[in-house]
Amino acid sequence: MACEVESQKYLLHDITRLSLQPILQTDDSDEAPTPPFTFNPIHDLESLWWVWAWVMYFYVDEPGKAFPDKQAQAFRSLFPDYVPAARLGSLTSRLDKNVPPAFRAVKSLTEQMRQRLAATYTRMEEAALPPNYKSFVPSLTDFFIQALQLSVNSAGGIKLYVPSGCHKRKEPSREEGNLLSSNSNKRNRDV
Amino acid sequence: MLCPTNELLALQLLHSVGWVHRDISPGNIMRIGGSVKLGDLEYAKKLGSDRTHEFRTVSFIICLGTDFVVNICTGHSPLYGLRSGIAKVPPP
Repeated sequence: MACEVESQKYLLHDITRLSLQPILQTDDSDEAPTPPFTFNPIHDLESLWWVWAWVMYFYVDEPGKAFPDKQAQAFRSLFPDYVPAARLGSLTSRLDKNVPPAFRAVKSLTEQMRQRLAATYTRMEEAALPPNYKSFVPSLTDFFIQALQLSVNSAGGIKLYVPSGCHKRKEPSREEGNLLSSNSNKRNRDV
Repeated sequence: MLCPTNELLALQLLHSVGWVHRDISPGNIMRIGGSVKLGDLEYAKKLGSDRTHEFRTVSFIICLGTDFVVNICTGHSPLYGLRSGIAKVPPP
């Protein structure tokens, strides 16, 4: 799910202030009110990007291979128990390099898609709120299609394998107390 | 390996007719034979609509097969009316 959808507010219209906020402790009363959040097609594209990232960091490239520690660490960093603020940090930061060796070319393209997605959000939301997404969706979609086609070409005959000890479509084991179901976010989808 | 461009093309079709899916997840992207199907349109919504949910169903899918035609499996939905429009989109 897109970070803004989980948070139910626009997050990237003032990314500079957002990153400095913990230091400056700005007074919320000085902020201009933002319009109510609404879902737009960019959020669907972001969700697809998260699915691709999930595939790349969850699977391994050899049958019977255990989940490498560094890859597991990168996975948990990208998917930290569905905490929106933490995932926004991942969306605005470079992807971790610890993916299976066979996936590295694809990871590079996924990183380019992340950069384009984050830049699109920022430009779109700095220009206007609510964002005028219509002029941004076609170019971002075309960029994603081209990047994915290149990914498919570079992936060749790569096969995906669930790491031994993990279950398909489940995240690696983590502390039970912090685990939330992804379905718990469905209550937020009424806008 | 599943060709990920097909799921994006399915989503592009949905967006081209003014709808958003709102529930893209691994469990809603299915590969059946040579087709990619985008499922679970329970939360799909027409952009600009005030309604919280346009419809509730678990059986709707958008199918991108070789003929590149969107197939909506069951009727009685606002999306059903979009079928002919989507079918006119040329193959990539």
